[in-house]
Amino acid sequence: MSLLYFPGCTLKNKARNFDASTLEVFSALGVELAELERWNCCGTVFSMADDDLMLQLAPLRNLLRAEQQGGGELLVPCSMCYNTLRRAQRFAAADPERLGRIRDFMYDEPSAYRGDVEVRHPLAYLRDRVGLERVKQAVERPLGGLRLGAYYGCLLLRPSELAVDDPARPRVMEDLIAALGAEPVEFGQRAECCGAYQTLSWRAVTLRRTYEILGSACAAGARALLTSCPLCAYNLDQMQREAVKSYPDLCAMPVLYFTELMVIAMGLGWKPEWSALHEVDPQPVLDAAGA
Amino acid sequence: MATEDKLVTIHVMGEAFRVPEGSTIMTALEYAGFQLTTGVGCREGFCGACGTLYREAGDYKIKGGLACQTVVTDGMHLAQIPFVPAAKPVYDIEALSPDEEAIKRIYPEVFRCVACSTCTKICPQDIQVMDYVQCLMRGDIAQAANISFDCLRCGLCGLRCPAEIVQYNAATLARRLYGRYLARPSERLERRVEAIARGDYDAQLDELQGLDADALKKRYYDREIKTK
Amino acid sequence: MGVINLADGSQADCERAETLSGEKIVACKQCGTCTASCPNIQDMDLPVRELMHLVQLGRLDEVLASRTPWVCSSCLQCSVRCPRGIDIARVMEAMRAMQLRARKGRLSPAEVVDPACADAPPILLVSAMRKLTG
Repeated sequence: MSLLYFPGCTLKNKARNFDASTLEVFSALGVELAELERWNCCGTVFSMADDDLMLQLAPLRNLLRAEQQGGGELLVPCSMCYNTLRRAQRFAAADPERLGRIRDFMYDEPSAYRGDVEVRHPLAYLRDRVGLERVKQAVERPLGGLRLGAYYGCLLLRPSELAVDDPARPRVMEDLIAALGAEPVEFGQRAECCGAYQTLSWRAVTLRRTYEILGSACAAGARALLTSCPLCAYNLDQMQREAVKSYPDLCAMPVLYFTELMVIAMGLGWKPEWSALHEVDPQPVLDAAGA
Repeated sequence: MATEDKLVTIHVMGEAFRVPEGSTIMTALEYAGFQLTTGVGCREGFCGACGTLYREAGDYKIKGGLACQTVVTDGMHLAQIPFVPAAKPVYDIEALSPDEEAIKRIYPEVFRCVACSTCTKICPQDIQVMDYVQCLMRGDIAQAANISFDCLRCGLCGLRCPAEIVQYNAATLARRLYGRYLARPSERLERRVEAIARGDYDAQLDELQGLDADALKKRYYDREIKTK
Repeated sequence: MGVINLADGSQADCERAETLSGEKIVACKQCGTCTASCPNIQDMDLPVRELMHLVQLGRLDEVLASRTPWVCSSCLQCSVRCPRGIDIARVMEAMRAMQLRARKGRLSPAEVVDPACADAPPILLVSAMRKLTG
């Protein structure tokens, strides 16, 4: 079967390992992803001012493009894109007058925005539609009990209405880790913010968040972290080299996209160029699978 | 034009003029007595000097056009926009790579795009301006160069952009990056450059340089045009 | 009819913050769950609870002079935990929006050219510019 797919900007450059591994994993599980023919930035970071409709156009235009390409479900692996698209959809739907103004502004589009595309995150899709049992059956190189921490951050869980799992006690990523033959490790900071865009502004915030999140995972025994957000990945992985200067006892560990872990465990072939996109070498994770 | 008997009314910066129906904005302006010293160039739709904003009767939409290509309509309001202020950064193409990092270094404000599509709506060349800005954000330099190929740099997109991006400058960077790093080398072009360097055409060039204006004109109009 | 004291502009300012955020700020009863939940609190000069109180009082000058709205990373922990159901992150957004609309941005696009951010992904550039440039 085929499913509409929205990669988002960063999956086309710094996180192309996330893009490629998502496509490979879904293909191996019998779901061919069809990238939207025309898409734009998701609108990165949902804009919360009640009167600013202009900043909702980016996400809504993407949903309109999905409608124009047949609609139905849209798979969005980047946590940020997923969150922004779904919140914008709810924002527009909350008020008919607001929805009318947004539609009117996009008068140059060949069709009017309806708002009925279902935005899905791969974690929820794997759990609900593919089934983690099927993922388990597809594992060829089980991860040998490697202890891994699932880092959810903010965007998969908040606001609650669009959480991919129980926002108070998520387990979907832990269940995936277990299905892949590794050992999930719960840690206190798994749903706390990575500092997000503060990396370019209040850098100290991100450096401390990186240190605390890694420390929390480390104390729980995790050897690597999993994420589904390229911004979390940048702050937790690339920022380690700078954070260690402020925090010499920082616990270094690799950070992988959950789809990369699936590629490893399902024996789909890790691409050597993906390693270069990581700051901390993911080799220990590959070694655990004997890959 | 003066022999046309049907006239329409246009409003140039608020003042009404009766001008011949069917004329372009540029000829209409000259008919009305304006002497154009700026906001005018090739008069053929290639140079981008005569960007004009206008609204037509009964329509709230603001539109962009080239004065030399856009035909007046009765009740049209217009103002020429001969120039849009924008600094042109100086950069070394050899020090850049054909990806989003080059865009970030030279035109970081590109990442302020909110995908409102106002640029696309105003473009006189019907370019999908917003789409190429989006390509720049994701580092698809080849596609940005491709989409923006017909840009004349009239500047109207940059004037209208709520994110204050200078799209046409960023697109120029994309096309330069494309030419430097991504375009397939043209063997014919390279052979021709070698031949010129070798001096194969020196005699012909010398001959042309020795001709007077009339002879040059004759050569130009009598030239053989090869069409595929 | 309530009396608006124009001398300190208080009620009008509070109402403006409520309109912009879409939230009922006066419903806050100052329990402090927001402050306790905030992962960035160490870098804030005005704790979230106190910020909410100043907004209620209409003392926006003091709020806008603080760095707290700029330190917020919109993680929504305060919003999901508020026992009064106030989406506090939207109040922070309103405080930022007031300044960005007055062209008082926290970040200039030129700053992201900093070599320290040479490998910054688009998701970081766009999100920072969206929240911090006017």
